[in-house]
Amino acid sequence: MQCINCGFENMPASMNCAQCQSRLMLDDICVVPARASALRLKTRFFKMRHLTERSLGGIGRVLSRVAKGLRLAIPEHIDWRAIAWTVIPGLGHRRSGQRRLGTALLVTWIVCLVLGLLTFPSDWYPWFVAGMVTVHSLAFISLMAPNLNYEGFIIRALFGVLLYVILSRFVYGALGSFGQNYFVGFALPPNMPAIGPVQGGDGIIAEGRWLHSTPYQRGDWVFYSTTQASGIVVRKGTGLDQIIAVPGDTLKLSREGITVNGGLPEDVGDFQQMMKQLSAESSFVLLEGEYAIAPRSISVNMHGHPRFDPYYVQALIVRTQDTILGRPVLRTWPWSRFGFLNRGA
Amino acid sequence: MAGRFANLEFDERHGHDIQPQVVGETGPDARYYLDRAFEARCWNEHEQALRTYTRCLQEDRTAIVAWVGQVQMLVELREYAEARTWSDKALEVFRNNGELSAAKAQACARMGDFEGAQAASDNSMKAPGCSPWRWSSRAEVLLARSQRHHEECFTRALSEPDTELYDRVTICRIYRYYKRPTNALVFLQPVLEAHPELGYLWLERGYCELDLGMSAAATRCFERSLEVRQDSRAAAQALAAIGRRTLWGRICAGTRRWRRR
Repeated sequence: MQCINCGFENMPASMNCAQCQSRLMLDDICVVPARASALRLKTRFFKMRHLTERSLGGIGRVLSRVAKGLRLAIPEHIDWRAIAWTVIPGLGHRRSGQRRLGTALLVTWIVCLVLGLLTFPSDWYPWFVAGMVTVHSLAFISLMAPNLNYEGFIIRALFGVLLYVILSRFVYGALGSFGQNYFVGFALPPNMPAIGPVQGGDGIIAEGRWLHSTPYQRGDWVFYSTTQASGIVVRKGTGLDQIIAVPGDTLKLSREGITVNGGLPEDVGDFQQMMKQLSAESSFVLLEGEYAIAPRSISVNMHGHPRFDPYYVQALIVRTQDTILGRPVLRTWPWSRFGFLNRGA
Repeated sequence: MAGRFANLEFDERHGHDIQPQVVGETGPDARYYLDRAFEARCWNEHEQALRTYTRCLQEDRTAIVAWVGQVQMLVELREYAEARTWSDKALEVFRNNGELSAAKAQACARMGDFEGAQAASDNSMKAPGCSPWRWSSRAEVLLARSQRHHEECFTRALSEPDTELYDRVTICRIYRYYKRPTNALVFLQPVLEAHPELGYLWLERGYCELDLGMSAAATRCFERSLEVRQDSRAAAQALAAIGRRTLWGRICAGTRRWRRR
């Protein structure tokens, strides 16, 4: 049988050409090519992938030239494609043939990521994040290591430290800052008394300002930032208390306590007792974006006298929406009480 | 809904008579289909050409020209990923075939996989034999990477012993794809002057002039193309598109004309 591809005369009944390995029996071959969908998704995906690889490689080459111009020690002949894939640690190694090392790095990174998420925002969480950054740095360094032409240990160490700092500040730190617009983590101090749905030592995830879609309601527990009002000493930081009035509600402060729309707010604890020490009355309507909360963590000390001034207290208990950090939605720590927090619970 | 049936073959609708005839040495019907496919691709009817190449292969699976044609038509239809996959499948059947490797190089280049394109082009040059298509494909890889010497490769393609008129059209289309209509016209003009009776050459010139913003000249070329072949859908669609241009389209055409001065 003569091969169509190279013309070699093969033995009869041969399946493949002895010279070029082309197939000789073609009767069962499909001749209808697979077609693309209307969106040409496969082509678009590959185009985007190749463009990304080229861009990252191009950026790497530019940085390499800049570094050479500055006489910095940057290795040559780096596998920039593998570096680009090391956005996820270990993938670059797997693509460049170092499958075991790549798998080890990838698995370690994923384990640190999962444990970090599970322990967020407890005291363990920063350690797992540090582990992720370390693994990531090691992945980059191990790809560059064979080509390093450094003359001394110090320069190599400085390079490693610089890489760690860049990754932790500008990559993971940036991602964390961006993520805080969606989810904010609070690690409550262990000696904090139980407040509403949480207890001391809990790790709480609150919804961030970009995730929060529906307006706050009366009874919602929220994290809010505390600031010092004039003449009042307040513990600076973050508070967690209940919303007792929403925009449009009428708030009245008097010796009888605080009323919302003429009625007593529910379950504000000792706050009502504290309000009964007021010396004057005050009444106002909450404007758009203002919420009244019942702060339970204030110590008021105006010039040494245990007195309340209604104007200062107004400034304190009425928080605008941008000082409200978010509503707690999930308790991640301790694991024995892991779960979602119901609204108003 | 109509899209699901768009690829069914209704011979009367396309106006082509695809009755099988016994001709050629490749097979009783394959040669006929090859000729029809070539005619379709000349007139920019890539979908029709692809189907005809497939019909050819159903008659004769050893027609490598048809395999190459399928890959080229998939590329013209901008289905680059599918073209690359199909070229790989064809290369499994016809190992190290230079023409198929060149077609794969073109698909890779248009998809942005320059390394794959370079490797495929190198394979096509190493394979036994030579052809204008291999040099044209290599030139396209260089053009895609914005490297020099693509013009030399195209010139080399035209100096091959088995070069044909259509090779200049191929070069013209490659330049047009990479938005170099002036270079395209440089290669097209000589063959157009030598063969003004070929309507598809006027069609290509019309596209080049449209890319240059010369709408009036492009219109004349498309009309000339329609005089040669009244049922040319590509020419009719191009004329209709010129007629449907909005004010913004005219401004863009004027800008292109001004830039190309």
